[in-house]
Parts: sequence; C-alpha cells; structure tokens
Amino acid sequence: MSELISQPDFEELEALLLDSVNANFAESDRKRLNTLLRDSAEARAFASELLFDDALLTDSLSTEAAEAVFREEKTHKITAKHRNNSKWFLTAAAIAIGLIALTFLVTPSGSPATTVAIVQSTNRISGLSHGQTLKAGERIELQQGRAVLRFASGAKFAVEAPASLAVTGPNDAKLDAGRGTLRVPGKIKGFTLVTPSERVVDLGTAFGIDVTDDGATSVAVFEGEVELHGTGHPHRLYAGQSTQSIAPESPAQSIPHLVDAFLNTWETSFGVESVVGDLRVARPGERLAPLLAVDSKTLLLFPEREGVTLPEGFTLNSTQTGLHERPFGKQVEHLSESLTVDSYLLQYNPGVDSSELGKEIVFTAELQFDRPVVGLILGVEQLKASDAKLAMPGAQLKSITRRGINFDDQVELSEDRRTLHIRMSIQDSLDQIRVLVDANA
Amino acid sequence: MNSPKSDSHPDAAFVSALTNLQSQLRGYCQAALGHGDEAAEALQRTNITLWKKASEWDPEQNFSRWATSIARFEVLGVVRDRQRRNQRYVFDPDVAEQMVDEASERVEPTSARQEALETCLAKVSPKNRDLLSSYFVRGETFQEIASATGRGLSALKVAMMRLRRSLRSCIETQLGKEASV
Repeated sequence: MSELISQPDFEELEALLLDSVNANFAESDRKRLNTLLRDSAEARAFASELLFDDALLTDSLSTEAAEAVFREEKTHKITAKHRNNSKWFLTAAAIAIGLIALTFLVTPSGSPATTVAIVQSTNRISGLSHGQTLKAGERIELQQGRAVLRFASGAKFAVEAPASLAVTGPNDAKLDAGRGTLRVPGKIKGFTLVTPSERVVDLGTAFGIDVTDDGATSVAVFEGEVELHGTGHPHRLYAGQSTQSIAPESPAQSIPHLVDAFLNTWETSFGVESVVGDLRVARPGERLAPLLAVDSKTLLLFPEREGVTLPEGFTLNSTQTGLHERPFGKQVEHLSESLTVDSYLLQYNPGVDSSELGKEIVFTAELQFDRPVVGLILGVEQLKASDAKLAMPGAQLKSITRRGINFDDQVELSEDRRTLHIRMSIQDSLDQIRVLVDANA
Repeated sequence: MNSPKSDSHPDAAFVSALTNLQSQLRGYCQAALGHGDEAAEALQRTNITLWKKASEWDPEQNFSRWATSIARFEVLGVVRDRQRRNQRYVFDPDVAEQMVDEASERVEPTSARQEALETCLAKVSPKNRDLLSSYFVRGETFQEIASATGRGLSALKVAMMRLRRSLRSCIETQLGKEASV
C-alpha cells in the first residue's frame, strides 16, 4: 500500500533522479531510488511529473540551441573569415545582408554586369566548368549531364539535361525547359523561378520543377512551401503537394505527388555526384527525420546542415585521406582554423534489433562528392558532440544509443578527397558516421 | 546513380502525426524509465515499431493513444531485455511497470505546458540556462559540468534543483494552477 512521503524525501528523490544518469551511479542509491518509488504513489506522481517536464525542457533547449546555431551561421556567413574571400563571395554576402534586412520577396533585378551565380558542380557537361561565374542574363543550354548553380542569395539549383535556362538575378532564374531541384538552405526566402506557364516563389523550401518543351510546368514541393503566381493570384503549395500549370492564364491543377523523377537532381543539389553500391541518398521527407527512416537493404546518406562554420579547435576524428578503421583509441583531431562545411550523416538503420539480424551483413559503397571531403566524424562521442551544430533541427539523434563504426568497418578517403569507399560490417542495429564537405570549394 | 526504393514510405499524415508526437513520446519514455539511456532506447524502439506498423494506423484512430500503447510495450521490453542481458538499468522491472502506468496518466497535449515552459525559460539567466543546457541538451554529468566550470559538485546540484523548482512554479503560475509540490 502506498504511503505518504515527507518533503525531505522529495528532495532526496529529485537528487537521486538527477544522479541516476551517471554511469557510476551507486547500487545503494539505485536501490534507495527504487524503494522510494515502489512504496509511494505520491513519489511516483512527483517523479513522473518531474521527468515529463525534463523531457519538455530538453526539447525547448534543443530547439533554442538549434536556432542559435542558425543565427550564428548567418552571422558567420556575413562577417566571419571564410577560406574563399573572393570578390564574388563578398558580393554574395552583401546581397545576403540586403535580403535578410529587407525580408521581402526579391523580383528579378540583377544588372547585366553583375555576377549572380557560380557553377558549383558539373557532371558529364561540356561548356560549363566548376567555379565558373555567371552574370545576370547569362543563358545555359544543357545537352547532357547535370549541373548545380549556386546563387548569390544561397539558393542552389540542380538541373539536368536537356535544359534551357537563364540566370536573371542573385535570387531569380528563368527555366524555359528542363527538370531540376531548387533548394534554399537557411532562412533566405523569395527565390523566384519563372517558366513559360508559371512563376514560382520560394518561401523557405526545397522543390522539384519540370518544364516540358511546350512550357507546361509541374512543381512538387519536398520541404517547406512555395507560392505560385502564374495566374496573378498567389496560390500556396506545401510539402507533399504537386501541381501542374499548362498556360499562364490557367490555374495550376493538383497532380499526384511523385518525386522519383526528381531524385537525380535532388541528390545532385546536395553535391552528391555519384553513388555506387549499397547506399542511397535519403528521399525528400526522409531527410528531416533520420531516426524514422528504416531500410534494411542499404545504407542511407542524410544531407544535414549546410554552410556551418566550425570554430578553430572543433573536435573530429580525422581530416586525413587514406583508410580509417577502428580502433581509434583516443584519436581525435582539432581544427587548426575555422572551416565552413556541409554535413552528411551516413546511417544504417534496419529497424530491427541485432539479435533479430542473426548474422553479420556487409555493405560496400562508393560515394563521390562535387567538393572535397575535409573531415570525418566516426566515434560515438564526437558524433554526439557535433549534433548540436550539424544535425538537422528536430532530428532527435540524441535518442540513438548505438552510433559510430564497429571493428571491421572501413572508411577510405581518396587522395583527391572527392570519393569515399565504405565497407560497413553491420553488427549492431544502427550505425552512423558523419562526413564533412568543404562548403566554399 | 542507383536509387533503390526503401522498405516502406508511410504517408505524409502518418509522418506528420509521428513527428508532432515526439515530445510526448519522449516525455512518456522518460517518465517511465528516468533520465538515462533506457528512455532513449525505448523512444528509438517505439519510433521504429511505429514506422513498421504505419500501414496499420487508421487516420480516424487517435494517434496518440495508439502510439502510447506501442510505447508502453517497448518501455517494458527495454527493461526486460536489459535485465536479461545484465545491462545497466535504473528502475527495477516492477517499478518501471508502476512508472509506466503513472506516465500513461500524463500523456496529454503538451503544447500549453511547453509554451509556459518557454515563457519561463526566457526569464532564466544565461549562466543558469547554460547549466540546464549542459545537463539536458549536451548530456553532461554533474562531475563533467563541475570540472568544466570550476563550481563545486554540491553547489551545482543545489543550483539545479532550485532552478527546476522555480521553473515548475513558474509553469504552474503560467498555466493558472497552483504548484503541485
């Protein structure tokens, strides 16, 4: 039968609950905690309320920390020293300042002489080169391959051949024909993509767009929302929705939300040039919740935050090329200077416990990026420590108990830093590593 | 580029419902198992099971009730498995069962309480906020916080307990209720 406990016991109970998280929590204290709870309904009610509130507290503080990181990233983008101090980047930063300060929807505005975008990557393309700058009004005709254009506003547009487009400003473009994925990382909004039958304005988003030769435009929103201005009456479209516009005067019609056609440019937009073997890039929807993405047949790559400035002294497991495998011992490295990176989480999550797997499974894969890999985070402690800066807000990776790589796992970074060879021998129910790519290359 | 399909892709309504319930599920698992790894493991197992059972969910059905019934099973499973494997656990199985019953009473919409908490958090000093973040977000132990800040262990524990007490009191005031303790 339950007994009332006195006020001092509540304090003891609270102290024991706080201490219980320690790995070396004394067995005598553990027994005392259990006795207090077992014997008193009031103690259980008190502890339950306390623990529930603590979970809310963790959520609030985590969200706040994530928002602080975003603010910090934005500040760094504008003022901090970057590896790439080119005139283009300074122009981009100045434009970004303007966009943040004004927070209005930008209309096509680039003057003909202004550099408004840069070619971030080219895949089987002739006539465009990595790092090439593009001026307002410049046209691109793609006969084959894929390219990623990085606009001065921060927007990234991955487009695949055949395609015909023009960059018209630091935050706008015109797509006459072709298929692509547009993403606007961070908080800058208002990227405007004009097609023969539609005008799509980003409101903080990722979306796929397909313009046929006759000008019909299909839009599939992957994350966030967009506004369609084709008929002059803005129409909002949210994640998971798709529409098709046949002509400028006719309103957009809802169509089934099919994303497969956009997966190539979705992957390319994150700087993934090729994937071979037992690995795939997380699909739209999966990306924001790695913990919920269950796939027993393949490793998954989750693009995380982009343009994050890691401070000097930041801890990771390696910045070196070559083979990486356990045991790492205490092997960690500290950044000798600040570094701006895009982060990727590579994960195996079969959705079953190791005991259900029954046998060891080996996955091998080759992963090629469009920019150099500058760091690897392979140990569980370093993964946990880097979550606050690099994980997507709300990803809740803290609740994962098994992370990092196992004995027998191998991660090899090529000499040119573009290619990772991965061999993961799956022994636990969930494995993770984090890959950092130079955001400014 | 190969892009094989994943095992299953629950619809947007399911993903949205599951995402929106994460705070409650975390609270439920933590209220039943305490601050340690057990709660994190139970939440992980609950999410995975829910994902696998997505096709069984009827959108007309109360998602919270359905998800909590699965979480209950996973919470008790974690305790049972840890005991069987001689792994560390804080609450004995019989106590965990009592606590999970208590937690079931608390699964209710958390948005009002969360909003009240955020209002109260805004009043906390940066130093105390950092203490809370060290423990609840970065998962540091009191020993680690003490060694990083140079503060005494006992003083830290007392500060944490006072801080939480004042937050609880503030939340109850915000919600227009009397403090429960």
